[in-house]
Amino acid sequence: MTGTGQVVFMAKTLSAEIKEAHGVELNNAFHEYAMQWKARVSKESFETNKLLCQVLDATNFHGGDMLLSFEEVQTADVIFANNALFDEIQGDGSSINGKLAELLTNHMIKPGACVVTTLPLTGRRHQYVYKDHGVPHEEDDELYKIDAFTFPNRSFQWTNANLQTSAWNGYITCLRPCYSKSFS
Amino acid sequence: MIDEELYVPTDVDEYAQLNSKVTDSLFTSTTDSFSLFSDSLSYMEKIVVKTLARHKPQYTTLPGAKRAECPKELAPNGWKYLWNRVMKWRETNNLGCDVNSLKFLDLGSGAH
Repeated sequence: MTGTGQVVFMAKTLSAEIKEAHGVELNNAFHEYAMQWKARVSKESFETNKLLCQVLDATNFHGGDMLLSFEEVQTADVIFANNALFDEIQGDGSSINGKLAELLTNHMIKPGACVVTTLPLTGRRHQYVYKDHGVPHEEDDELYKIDAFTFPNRSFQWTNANLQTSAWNGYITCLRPCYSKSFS
Repeated sequence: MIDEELYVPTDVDEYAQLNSKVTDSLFTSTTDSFSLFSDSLSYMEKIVVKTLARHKPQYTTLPGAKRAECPKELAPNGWKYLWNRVMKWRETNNLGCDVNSLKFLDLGSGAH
């Protein structure tokens, strides 16, 4: 749920390491707004700011359910989810964060991939590992917390209104394969 | 210092006044026309702030109180902080931090 896409745009603009930035939004109105915004800014800046055009060309908005965005997750190097805002309980009694953890555990497979969240995630996936003369062993891949930190002031606030946000925590998590216990 | 520079007015009239001043210079590729912002902001940050300030009306034209009560949207300060930590980890583990090499995916920014 990338909203109207400002984080996607901000990521591509501010981070030179990013080749392409993607966002997934379930709400069709937000997605349409993001698409129209991109088209409008691209058109306005085409003649005057090639740099901005290049940024927008590499900024991609996808309409759909993030929990079904298997391909996007599989090919991502860095994922962000401000999951402290996600509803905990859905109508069927499950939690979005639980499903998010399941999605990442099963599909965040690119080597070196990690996810940055505002609430910690845990998850395990059973794997069959063949060792000892080809005998299969059932072991677990797991979501593994690499880093935990507190965001500095104004990390989640655009205006200078006299309001202070409470501290927001961040967690960087990767999928640690069962055969790589030395991963740090 | 960055805090001041990220200021985007929440009042509609104030925004309109500022917007009229920056419209002509907003989409130029030069760095000397951003008189409303401190020089210490990077050029790319200025692009983010100004582009979103102009084209993302929810930042400036929604009722300020409502926006202020829910200041949960990731801002450039937060983005730079988290990105530096991710890059530090990737660098430590030799996972690659080359320019123009990584794919980023936003699954939820709270920007609703």
